[in-house]
Amino acid sequence: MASILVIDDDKDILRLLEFTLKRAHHTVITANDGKQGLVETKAKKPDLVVCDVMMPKMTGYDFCKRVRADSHIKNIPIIIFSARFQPIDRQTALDAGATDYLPKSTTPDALVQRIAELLPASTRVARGMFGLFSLRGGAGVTSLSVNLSVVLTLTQKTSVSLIDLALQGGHASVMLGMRPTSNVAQAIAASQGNFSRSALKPHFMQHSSGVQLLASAPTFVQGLSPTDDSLLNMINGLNSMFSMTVLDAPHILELHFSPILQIVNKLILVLSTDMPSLQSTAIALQGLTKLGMPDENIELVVNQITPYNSLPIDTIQKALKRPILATIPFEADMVKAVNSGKPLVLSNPRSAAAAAIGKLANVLLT
Amino acid sequence: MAGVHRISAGRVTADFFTASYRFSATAIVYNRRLIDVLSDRTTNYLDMVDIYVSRINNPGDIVATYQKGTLIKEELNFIMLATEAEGTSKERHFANRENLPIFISIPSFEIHGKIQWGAKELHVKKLLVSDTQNFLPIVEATATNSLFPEVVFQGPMALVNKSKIQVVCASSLSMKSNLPDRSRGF
Repeated sequence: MASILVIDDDKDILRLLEFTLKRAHHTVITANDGKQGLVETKAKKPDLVVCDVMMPKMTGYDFCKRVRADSHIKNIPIIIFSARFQPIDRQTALDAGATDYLPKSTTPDALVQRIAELLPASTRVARGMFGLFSLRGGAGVTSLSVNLSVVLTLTQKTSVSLIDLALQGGHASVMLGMRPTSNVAQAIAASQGNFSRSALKPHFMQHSSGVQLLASAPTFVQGLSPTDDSLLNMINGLNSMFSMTVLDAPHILELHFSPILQIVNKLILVLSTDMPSLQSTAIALQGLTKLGMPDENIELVVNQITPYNSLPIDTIQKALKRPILATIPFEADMVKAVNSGKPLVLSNPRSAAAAAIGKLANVLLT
Repeated sequence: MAGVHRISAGRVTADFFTASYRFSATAIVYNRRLIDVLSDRTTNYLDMVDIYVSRINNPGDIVATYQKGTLIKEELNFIMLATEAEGTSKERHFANRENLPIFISIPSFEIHGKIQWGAKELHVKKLLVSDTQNFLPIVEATATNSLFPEVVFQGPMALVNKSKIQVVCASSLSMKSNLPDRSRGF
């Protein structure tokens, strides 16, 4: 998601941080001392620097001072990450120009979290791809995808695309009140393997919120299936066009479809609070594991689609042996929003469900 | 999940204090814990690498750096560790440890913290003589420089050189005085 320069003379720590940050989808540049770090900073202008203090040739404090004195790189956030853990060390780092200071007793996950908070908004959201999926219909995957896309567009003020991967007969365009002028199938056919920005752009429609929709075909289309490599190539091509993409994934879990699910930063398994949905989710989790989906990329979101209390959240968590990332409460206006073609987060932004979707967007971005 | 503080096997990075200096350095401990290396009576020295020297009145500033060095163990006042593990001997375990408040004065520093004590009654003098270790582990330690009280160092564990201790005070509900009981007269 962002390019991060890590400067440390300890090769073991350098390797650990490189691994940790790559796992968090960052591009990592490394340097072994402050002098080399300064050269890399000037040459590559990373989005953020993580820098040790105690290094040969140039200490982390001197590195901070040199960066802040150079008008071309002075605004790059710097986290001092040091074995010196005293309060005075934090103050010394901040006085030298560091953006923040973390002791090396900090866990790698906490470091990743702090980096996410410090990254400029434009890089924090860049290249984010979220897939929403359930093994069976009826859990509200499309309504959640639509509303999440709108929230991401409005809160992040960035380009967000919504891809309706149902391919034919999908509902995203209906829920956004739009009549498709093109669709995924046409985009793939017309592009003939060239999934550049100029080739794909004509097939997107812009919603009034700013969401860029690539709809599914409104009529039956023969000869297009998700097993087609062209679909995967097209989705990969979206990275150069949009800061974020939301995939409204079809209810398919097969070997040839798994590459599409695996390129997302987060795969959100949507389930409702009933026994069949719980069973489908358990099967989906088994399937995703067998298909090699990284466990840390899967999140569970409960969508309460009825007003009736059925399975408690605790029971769902225990049954699936996983935490629930978010719960979207039942909202009577959701059906009205779907029928009117105006997403709930726009038609009733103060509803508890809209607030929960907003919170989910925030959690996904941190 | 652990932090990344001790990732290289056989090395411990910590702050080593004398009356006048702070040395942020990495001690070579091989396959032992730091407190056991400090208590090793076969050598008076502690091998160090990547030594960063600060004066005690301005401990944030690094005035000199060296790749290799040796510390004379008996000259150390105390060591501030980032984790408790390196200050707990592999040979010393208490089944029912109790954390008791403690105050220690050493040259240029006063140290507040807690001592882990397993026996039913705390004899303050026994803290200094009850085992073979040369350094006393203090948890939740705060060391304040007596000349520059604004200079404060904190850590989950400090190892205080017993030979430098001037005064040690502790409190416990069940503490027994080391003085003879004269309440009944001589």
